Amino acid sequence: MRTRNWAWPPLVWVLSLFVMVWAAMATACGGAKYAEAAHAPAAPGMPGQAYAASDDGYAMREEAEYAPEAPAPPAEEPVMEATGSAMPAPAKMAQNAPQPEPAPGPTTKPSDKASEPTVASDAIPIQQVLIYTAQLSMAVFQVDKSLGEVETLARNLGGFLSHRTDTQITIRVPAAQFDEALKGIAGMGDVLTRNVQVEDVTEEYLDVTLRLKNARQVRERIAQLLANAKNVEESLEVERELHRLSAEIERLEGRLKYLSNKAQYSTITVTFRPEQVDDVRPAFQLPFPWLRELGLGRLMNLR
Amino acid sequence: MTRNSLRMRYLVWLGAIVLVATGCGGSAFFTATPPGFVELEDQEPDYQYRATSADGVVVAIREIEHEPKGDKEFWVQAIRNRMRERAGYALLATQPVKTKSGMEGTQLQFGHDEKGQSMLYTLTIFVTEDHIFLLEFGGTKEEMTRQAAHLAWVVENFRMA
Repeated sequence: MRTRNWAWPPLVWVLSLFVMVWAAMATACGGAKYAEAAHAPAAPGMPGQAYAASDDGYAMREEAEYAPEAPAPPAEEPVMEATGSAMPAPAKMAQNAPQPEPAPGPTTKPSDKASEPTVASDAIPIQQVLIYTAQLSMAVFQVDKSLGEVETLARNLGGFLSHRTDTQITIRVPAAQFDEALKGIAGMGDVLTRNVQVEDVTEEYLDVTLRLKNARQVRERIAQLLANAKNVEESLEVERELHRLSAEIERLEGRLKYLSNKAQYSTITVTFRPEQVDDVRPAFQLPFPWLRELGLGRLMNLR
Repeated sequence: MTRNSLRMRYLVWLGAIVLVATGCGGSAFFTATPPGFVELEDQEPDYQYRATSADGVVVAIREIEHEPKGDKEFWVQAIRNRMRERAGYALLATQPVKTKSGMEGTQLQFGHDEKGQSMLYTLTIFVTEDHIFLLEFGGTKEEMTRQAAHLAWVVENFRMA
């Protein structure tokens, strides 16, 4: 009997201990789950950050406080909701926005990284941007009439006169009419030399377009910063940056306009050779003296 | 055979040799002066024929020894290059021509501005085995246009002698 009496109490004690351990483990599992959720990434500067970094015991106390009010939410949301109430509005926007918004402040400059994702996501249709130019040299005959004909041709093709001297004329014609214009000019007389160039400025055009778009976006943000400036010093600094950006935008717009114009209208320059060109010595000359005696000068010189 | 007859025969042969050596004293071509033109004598030796209208259209013919030999295309190209690249003339037209006697040639028409006045210069070339014949017409554009029929007549009636 003594032996049984001595044997029974340890059994009860063991069972009781088992029940207590089981109860403790069941409770600890819930706390561990919450603690795991509490270590989810939190926004910088959020009040919940210190809470998330707390030990398990603290987390268990927080769970004891929140558990009676609501059922256990999904793992990520409790942090957001728990901290959302204390989060400032801009910080909350930063959490939800697809790209980081610069923190308000007069000295904060928008980083390039902030604008890159936006630009990279904008697909610009790639099309070749070509600039056509041509220089023609034609033998002189009825210079005034030929100059007028070239100018008329340009207008008929939708182009315009760019420059004109006594012996040279430069016209601009729509790129689509470039070949037509060359044919028309060649039909007016004797083309001595012809130099046609095509410059591919697609890369520069796209580059300037992207830089212009970026600059405009940054300018808008800086304009917003200017509205939020707290003092004169901040305002001046932002305005200086705004002024610099505006100048850059104007420069890029000018370049873009120049490239567009050059690509849209081809340039053709026609030069009529001067009357006396005998001073120009070509490398080759046939050894027949009578060839050099041809021409109106000798023919018309009557005795 | 008497001495006189031998002397006469010698003189005849000598005269014949002299005539052949001097080209019979004439040109290797025949041309006609068109109406309204006057043939000019004692001109530069390079021209074997020269005539002018009262309004300044000049017609001239050169007879050039065909040496070294070259085909018509060669000489046409040589003239074209010379006039365009060296003399600053504008080549306005190139066309084949044919005389009534059947000679086939090429006519090149050039334009040139001189002292603000538009001039035309037309060269017609005939190439034979022994000679190159150049028919040159020149004058103001207005007069050359007005005399176009007469100038064409000169070409049509050109023939070898």
